[in-house]
Amino acid sequence: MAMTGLLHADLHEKYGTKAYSSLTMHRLGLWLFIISDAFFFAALISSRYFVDGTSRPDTLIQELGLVLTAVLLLSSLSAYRAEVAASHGDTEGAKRWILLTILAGLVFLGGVVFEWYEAFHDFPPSTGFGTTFFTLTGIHTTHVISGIILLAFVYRRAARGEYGPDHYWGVEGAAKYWHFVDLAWVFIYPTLYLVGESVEMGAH
Amino acid sequence: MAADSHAGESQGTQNKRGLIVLVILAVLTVAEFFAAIWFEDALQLILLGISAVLKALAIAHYFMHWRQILDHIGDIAAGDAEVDED
Repeated sequence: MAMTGLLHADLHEKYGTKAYSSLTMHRLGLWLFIISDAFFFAALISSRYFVDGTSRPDTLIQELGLVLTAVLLLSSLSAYRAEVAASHGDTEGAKRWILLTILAGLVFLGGVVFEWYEAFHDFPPSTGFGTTFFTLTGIHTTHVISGIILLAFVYRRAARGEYGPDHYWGVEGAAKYWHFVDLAWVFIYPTLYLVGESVEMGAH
Repeated sequence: MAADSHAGESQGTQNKRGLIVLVILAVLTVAEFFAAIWFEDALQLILLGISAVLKALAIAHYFMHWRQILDHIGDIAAGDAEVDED
């Protein structure tokens, strides 16, 4: 902190800037990352329409997409509850909800693995729809995995009692990231599972 | 901190809000599932688009507190931002 203070003092002297609170900077940084990542997802989602129009294979399991969406929405509520609990100094509650969020994330991953197993036979990555399907779900899944790892770190820190009602940025940041993973899926789900008419699409 | 936008509210009130948002998200999700079955072409695309945007707004507003960051930017612009003292 002394070094940070020195840096802030230097900046203030040199540029007349203010040393904004670290919480403000953390939030700004995270939101900049989220916005940049959102553009990445937007580009991938638009590629689905560019590559394959609005047709989708008749072998796509729409009900599985609905279940995956439900799991992710539930995990968003548990992440929200973890943040609320942490903000009220309820560490045990925060730990419990973080753990539930991790579990929901793992269930989601299990669903994606099953979907991929089926999809490799029905519309492999070499097909037009397969290309966008595996790219979109693959990139999204890496976000889910990184979110789970992040939440596991936060759980460990919460278990050590490192968060309190006045300092719980770790929980807040991880929860916000998890909500973004959910938000991205809100657009991916209709793009892959719902839009257009199903057509027979054999493996090439 | 995180719950700045709802500072002073009890844990129960905030939890209840979270549950209401989840119900809204669930209703929209089921609605878009059936919209995809019942409607076709442009109308289907428009309905699914509206539903996705509404769901995204609900998540960004109630779960991610996106207004928080606008407040921070506003404070910085106005010179009222919280400053580190160390």
